Amino acid sequence: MDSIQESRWKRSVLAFLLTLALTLGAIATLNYTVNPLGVYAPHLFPPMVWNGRAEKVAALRHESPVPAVLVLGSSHVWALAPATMTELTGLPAFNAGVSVAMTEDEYAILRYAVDQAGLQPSLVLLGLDVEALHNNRPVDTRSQDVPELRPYLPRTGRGERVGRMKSLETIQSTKLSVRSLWLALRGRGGPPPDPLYTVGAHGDTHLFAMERRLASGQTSRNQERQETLPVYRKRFDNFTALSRVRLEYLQRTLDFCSQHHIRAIVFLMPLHPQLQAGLMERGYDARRRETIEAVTRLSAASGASFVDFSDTASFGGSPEGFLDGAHLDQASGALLARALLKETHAIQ
Amino acid sequence: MLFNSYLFLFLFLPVVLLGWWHIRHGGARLAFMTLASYVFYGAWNWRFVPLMIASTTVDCVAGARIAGSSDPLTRKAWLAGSLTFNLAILGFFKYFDFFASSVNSTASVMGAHSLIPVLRIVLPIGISFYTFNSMSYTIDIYRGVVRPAKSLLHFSAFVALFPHLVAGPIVRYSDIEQQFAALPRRLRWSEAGEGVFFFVAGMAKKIFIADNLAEYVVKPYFSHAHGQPLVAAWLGVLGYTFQIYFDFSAYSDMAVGLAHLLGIQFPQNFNSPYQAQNISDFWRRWHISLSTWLRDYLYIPLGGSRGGQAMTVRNLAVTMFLGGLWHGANWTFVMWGLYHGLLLAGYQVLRGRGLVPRSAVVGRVLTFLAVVLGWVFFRADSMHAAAAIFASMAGLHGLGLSMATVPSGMGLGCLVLAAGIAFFTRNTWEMKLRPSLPSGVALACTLTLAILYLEKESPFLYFQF
Repeated sequence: MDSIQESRWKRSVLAFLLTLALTLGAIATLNYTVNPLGVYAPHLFPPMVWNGRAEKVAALRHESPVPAVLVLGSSHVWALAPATMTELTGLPAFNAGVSVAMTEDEYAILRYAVDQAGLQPSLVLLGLDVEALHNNRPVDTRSQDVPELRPYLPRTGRGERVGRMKSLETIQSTKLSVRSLWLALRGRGGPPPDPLYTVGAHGDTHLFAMERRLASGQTSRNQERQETLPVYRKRFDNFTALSRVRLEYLQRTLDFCSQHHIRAIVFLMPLHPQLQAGLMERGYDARRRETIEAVTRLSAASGASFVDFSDTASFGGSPEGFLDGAHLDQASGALLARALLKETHAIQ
Repeated sequence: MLFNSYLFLFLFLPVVLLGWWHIRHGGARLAFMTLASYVFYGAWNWRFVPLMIASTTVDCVAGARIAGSSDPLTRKAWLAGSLTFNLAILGFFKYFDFFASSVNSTASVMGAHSLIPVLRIVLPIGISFYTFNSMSYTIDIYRGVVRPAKSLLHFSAFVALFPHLVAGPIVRYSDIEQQFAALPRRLRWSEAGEGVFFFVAGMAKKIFIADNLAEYVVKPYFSHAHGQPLVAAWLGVLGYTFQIYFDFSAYSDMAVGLAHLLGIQFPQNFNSPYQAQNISDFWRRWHISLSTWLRDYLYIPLGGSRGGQAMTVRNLAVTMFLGGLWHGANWTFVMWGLYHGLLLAGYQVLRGRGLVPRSAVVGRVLTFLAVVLGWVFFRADSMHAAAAIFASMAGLHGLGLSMATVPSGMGLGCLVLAAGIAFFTRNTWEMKLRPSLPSGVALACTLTLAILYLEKESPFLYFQF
């Protein structure tokens, strides 16, 4: 009796193991082959997730006229509209700022622009955030997911490799794979637009979701500022020192500019005074001081200019010129651009 | 490391199972298991592994000395040493900051400056569980209930055994002693099947019910709990009531399942607690390994119910007060413990006078409501927050729902499903899985689906204790 029962259990357990192996294997194969996140080797189908970095890379490739002014940085530099930059410099400009850019992102985009997209910019404006030198923030997977940028980024760490392996067995990947196949069958494909921001001509990028909320009165700038604080507190939580690797990437960027006779102007981006005050206990002031010291040194060594605009008043701006705690509006962006170019004698 | 993580499922567990069933020598197997359990624990923070090793060593030595001595004073001294050591590390890591903050608050009320520095000590995960495991060992040796471990290795393997290490069940050495002495050489298919069943059931409870309740019912309410209307407050608190049950019983089920896969049996930790007919019955069904621990090592030594009604009430209050404090260093946990002590004492008094409801349904409903109210203390961040939630539940801030706290259809569906399972179905221990091809396939499909939803890898609620 016992042996009959044991053999039933054996069949049941073996069925469990076999089914588990088959289902997990099939799902992993599906997600790898369809590659809806664009992170694995096969590219049989278009990726299903919107990636602002990929969008900027594609736009740079097709940009006409070829930009002579390249704006690099995070979403904070989106306030520097290409039209304003062109008006101020008389040169075609492109805003290559990407969300939460670290120094390696800025380096990778510059290298891509020159090496692959055929740009020969005469001026690079690098809007640096203090947190772009974060010592405990991993390399953004959105950059690694863009094959054109990957060669210029640090080698993929174990964390990222594990992350990619995990995404073979996630419900999100699986749903996107099925959707991708469905769209392919119907002759359509490609990612839906990002719900938060849009990329327009010459890399002109708008936080349209926030702008729409503000315009409709659904929220106020003050409320947006309040909501920025916890996000930045979290970012600064484990920002305990400047990253040596990221400082190296900044140096590489400046050296690359120097070698290619590109004038480089680095400027430190401001945060709203309220946000700065809220980040004091997370060491914002110390990190800012260290950043200014390090960037001053690196800029001097490579012949680049450096301007500290981390204080809003330094470029003639005001706290009211922020959409939230970190993003300037276009008018303040224009003020900053004008002050920057004048101070560095890029314009008269 | 979490049971519900890719690392555990795809790397740690397969390696440990392969090693455990391939190593033939008993000592080597225990050494392998101890090492694997330290890796499991150290994956969270390896700095606390030496603390566990120290605690294990002290208790092992104390146990041997107690057993080896016939002098009552020596035995008592070693027991006191072991208990003091365990309570000292528990007190320092878990309660020092609470004590310092409480003293400083009192000083501030009296107009004085802070008297004791708050050290912001990181709480070693699972410390409450493994110190209780260890303490029961020396106490049981002192009482002559259990023999000392054959070696430090045996005892280390018992304390560190990864399935119960961080969130229980609180296993006693007497539960494991015989099993370690006769470790099976091969895993029986029936035992493997039981293990798979318990593990998958636990994973499904955690991923499909507890985590969804947390996301769609509990979080929307508790992130805006202040000043919410009645229905919103009740939905939020009910959500938490079922979340904590499904979360914690899920962990216990997974622990039991993993133990089965190692050929070891763990005791039952939950027995459909929301089907309890009175509060005493509830505590026989909820976190059974803790409630029996408190009963055997605290309530009975205090005198239990032997000294008349007044003494019984006192003993219950003291036991539950300490039980509450065991859960966390916050006045809300103390209040939760005292509240349950009061309920248990009240029940004893009413039962003595024949005033408890005779209807099982009425008993169940009243017990459930009393337990729900208790969870408010347990979940609230402060006594002030608890008072605000009670005010909302009493309708002092209106009756309906607010936009911020409307649970989604998913949340309501989960709440109804959770209530249905908790009130009306048999629990994992009562279900008898019939071994068959369809049941094996169904379990595999359930586990696959659960794995697909693992993206967030949410920790279990009881990890914080």
